[in-house]
Amino acid sequence: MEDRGVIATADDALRAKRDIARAGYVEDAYIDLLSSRTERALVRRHPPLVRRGYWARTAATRAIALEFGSRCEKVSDGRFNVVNVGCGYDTFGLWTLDRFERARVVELDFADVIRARSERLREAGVERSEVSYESRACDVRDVSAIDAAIGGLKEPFDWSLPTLVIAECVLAYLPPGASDAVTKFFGERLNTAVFASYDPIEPDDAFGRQMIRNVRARGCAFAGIGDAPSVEGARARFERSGWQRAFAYDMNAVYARLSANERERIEKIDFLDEYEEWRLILAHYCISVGVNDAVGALGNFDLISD
Amino acid sequence: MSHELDGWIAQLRRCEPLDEDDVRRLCQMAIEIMVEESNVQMIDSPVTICGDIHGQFYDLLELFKVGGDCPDTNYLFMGDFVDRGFYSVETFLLLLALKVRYPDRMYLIRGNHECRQITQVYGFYDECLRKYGSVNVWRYCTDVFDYISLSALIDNKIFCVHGGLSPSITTIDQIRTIDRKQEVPHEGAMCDLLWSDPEDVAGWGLSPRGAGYLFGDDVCTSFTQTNGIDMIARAHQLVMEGYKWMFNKRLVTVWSAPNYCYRCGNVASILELDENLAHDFKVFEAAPQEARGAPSKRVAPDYFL
Repeated sequence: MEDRGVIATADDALRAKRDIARAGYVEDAYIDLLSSRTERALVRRHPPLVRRGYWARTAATRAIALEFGSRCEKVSDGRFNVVNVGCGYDTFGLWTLDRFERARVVELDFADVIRARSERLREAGVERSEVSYESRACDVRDVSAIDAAIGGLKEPFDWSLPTLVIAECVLAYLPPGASDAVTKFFGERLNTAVFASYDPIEPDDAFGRQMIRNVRARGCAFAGIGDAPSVEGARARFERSGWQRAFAYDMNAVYARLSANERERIEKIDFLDEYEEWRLILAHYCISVGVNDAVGALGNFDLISD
Repeated sequence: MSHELDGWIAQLRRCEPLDEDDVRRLCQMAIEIMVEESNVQMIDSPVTICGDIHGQFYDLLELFKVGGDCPDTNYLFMGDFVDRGFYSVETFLLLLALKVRYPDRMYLIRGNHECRQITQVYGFYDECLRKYGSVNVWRYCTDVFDYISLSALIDNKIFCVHGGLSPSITTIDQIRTIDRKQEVPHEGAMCDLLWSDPEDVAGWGLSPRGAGYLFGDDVCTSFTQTNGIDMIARAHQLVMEGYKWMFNKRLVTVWSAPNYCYRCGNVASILELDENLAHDFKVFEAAPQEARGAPSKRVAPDYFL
């Protein structure tokens, strides 16, 4: 895996997410603060298709957090963990904390990313107690590094609490075989948990082959895409790594499940004229979810939002 | 004049944009020709029909390699010359210069991207600004857009349009009465011709694009019967195989931008019609990397990373 190219994807995602916040797709109180000073001076207007796709991804992960958090009100008195694996400059953790005051967020990524994001938040005066929010440097390709990072948290991590693990466009960058180790690691330690992963899929059709060529050319190959090359394969990854239950949808199906009101609202922001391309690119990304529910606390947990 | 035009064509074939003042003059000449053209251009076979190009200049050269050069081959381009690709300026000006030089061998009809509003979102406006430092060239070109014809009829048998049909149009004669010399409106017959899509629906449906309509087999059949034509040829929708028949071969979509947006991995096609209207699709791939000129600082295609 080419570290630099993959680390740069955190900047790409940050730019796109900042653009969709500015354009009114999502409310995001922290995205500007997480941008570097030079970055803040730039405005890169993303194409409507890219904006809409990033919106779908953000709306879906937020919907998962809301669903998970609200179920925890009953089972653990509102206490739960969020682990963001390969967090980049995501604001997902802070967004969740603002909505669930008893949540505890742990963010993991390369040291350079963690250093930059911590500095920027400090400069912006965003302070959270380490009891509820901590970012740690670790190489998420290596589960023993994840284990050590979580073991080294200032406030000990309570593995018995319900835990939401998020990996947003992370597992596909891992070397072949490595993502199974990550899903297995969390699956084995957590009794009440949801692991939600957003990934590219279908590398072998005409669009997929071009996608593989293009991302390789920008130095961030989807090295591990073969481990979960389809919706079915992404679901199977959770099943074979010991999760009790798993489901997955491609992003066309995810999009259709997002709030109809919200879709109607954001579809008015930009004029999307190319539906074939839109359906095509969404068919090449999926959200897969593993569920461990030892005490029946999560019930029929699914990806729905309304 | 043809000497000067030949110079421009040679320059554009090298993917070198014209000077701003030459663009102004070329656009003026084009308007003088197009203002005389009907909303439904009558074309005689043989002719080669092409779909969307979207500024993919080197793939347009590939198309000419596959289909033969103009004027040796007669061409009808069904719109969407600009936006999306890196070379909308060179692409549109080359087609326009060929149109002015060989008006009876090169036919252009208007696509939904030949429009001021859409080009400001999808790239042509920004490209003009970047290449010329001002929006003058964009203004000259978008003024030409208003004069580009809306459709074509080949040997009175094959109706060609960028998008599709309109609930306000029953006969081809009705198209002839549209006042087309304007920005593409948000609704109405002219808008629908440039925006509609065939779909597996009964009658008419709402388009997810927010403009134009979806139209079904029944609509297509009654239009072809009413007007005594064999089929409709249109572009507007990416098809991964380059072309796609629908409605019992009464409609075909032709797509001529290979590896669309440098991202989709699709092949492209052109539809060759001989003097008996027998059709032959020529399928082609994107121009090889070494044929794409000096590596410029291109923006990598977007994915979700």
